[in-house]
Amino acid sequence: MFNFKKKDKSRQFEELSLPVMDSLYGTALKLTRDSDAAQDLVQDTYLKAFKYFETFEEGTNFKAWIFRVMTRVFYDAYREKKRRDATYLPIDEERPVRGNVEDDYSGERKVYLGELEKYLEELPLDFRLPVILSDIHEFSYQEIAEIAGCPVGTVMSRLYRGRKRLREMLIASKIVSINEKGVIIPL
Amino acid sequence: MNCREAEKLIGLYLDNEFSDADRIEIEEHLSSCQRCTLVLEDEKQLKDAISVIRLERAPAALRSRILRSLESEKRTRWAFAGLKLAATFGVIAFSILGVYSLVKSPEATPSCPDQMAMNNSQPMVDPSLRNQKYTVRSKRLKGNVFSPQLVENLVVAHVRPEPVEKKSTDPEQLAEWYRGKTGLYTAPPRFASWGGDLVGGRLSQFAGSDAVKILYSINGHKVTLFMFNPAIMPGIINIKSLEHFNKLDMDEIITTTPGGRMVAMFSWKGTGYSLIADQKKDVIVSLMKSIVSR
Repeated sequence: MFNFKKKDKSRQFEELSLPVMDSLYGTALKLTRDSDAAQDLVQDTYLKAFKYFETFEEGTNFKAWIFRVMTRVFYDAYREKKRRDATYLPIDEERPVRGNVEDDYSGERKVYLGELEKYLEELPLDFRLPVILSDIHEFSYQEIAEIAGCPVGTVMSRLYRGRKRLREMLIASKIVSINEKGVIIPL
Repeated sequence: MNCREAEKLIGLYLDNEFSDADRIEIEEHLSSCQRCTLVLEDEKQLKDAISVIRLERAPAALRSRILRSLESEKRTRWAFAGLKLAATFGVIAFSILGVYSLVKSPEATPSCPDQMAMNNSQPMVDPSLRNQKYTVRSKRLKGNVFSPQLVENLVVAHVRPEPVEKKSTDPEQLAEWYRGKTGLYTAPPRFASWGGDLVGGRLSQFAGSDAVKILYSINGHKVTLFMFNPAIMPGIINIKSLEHFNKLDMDEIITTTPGGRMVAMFSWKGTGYSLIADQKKDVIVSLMKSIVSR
């Protein structure tokens, strides 16, 4: 009468979930910007995903599914934290673009693409998440919409605005330039 | 398609989110527009640059922490499945025996609730409390310390199968671990005289402030203790001495949940304590007493 199928499910969960732990943690770190918080987020994600593994449909993208679990856990904790602690640094805080974009449209500049990562982390959360999911993890717009819990149209506009903002930050920090035709080019 | 329209769609084109018809249309535009081709190149360079950002790998400690917590979760499930199975057999056996005893002798033997509680390995909850409505009995603390929301959160935190972050049976070792992280200095109590074992601790939150959650296993039953800065709970009863504790009406510092769980809260020597357990009230009182006797 024991449910042996359940035991198989546990094994199946581990087989599917353990290989994506690095991806989850790396993304959690980009979301929380804090190693301890990222570890807690990933751990809570695994426990929640294990609990609701029955709801995962075989044959669909498991990585997208567990990422969806993680963003839910993250947003829930973030909302809770925000509610409880007004002094908590808002993750969505809009940071001003340093320097003047217009002034940097000419002249010689050096490429610091390593800096790109820093600017990515400075993007507001709503833009940062789709950019990471699309450009680093190569999820489709539909998958990103499901992970982030928003319509595909919103994903498209956030991606557009996120990349645009990233480019503005790069220009302002003299990492990229704009050529005579008005097109931004890395130097 | 003009340049303005094309520019907006370049991201989608690069992300391969286009239908074949749209693809042909934008490719036609790109073949005749040098500016948009440059925009496309720029977008591609940015996308490629982001794609090579290396994400940090999960630390080995996290990996083992997760594996441990999954194992413990699995054990809980199996134990639960076992209990369900036992309960099913129990019901069947009980039904058969019940029918048999009714046939054999018309007068049914009254059951003993305490004995049943012992036999089915349930926590030692006072059966009379199980159906009791949730009430905040203390007038002094009403709506202040024992707010229904806080009590609910504490019970959820007590029931939730969270793994400990620091496993140790040594109070000093645990205190050393959380001292730098929480601003709490007092070491957790021992409940050894009650057959209790310290299991470990986990950094947590108490009423929105940093706290440490200490887990005990007392005669096989889980007891959770939160230690926190009492300044965050105005109105918390500060116990001054053992004599003061002995004179206190316990309803001032203990409340009972509808599920029969006991939640106690008080402060002692500058540390806030909240005990949550599925134990009888006298056990909780004794546990608290051992804290204030330290």
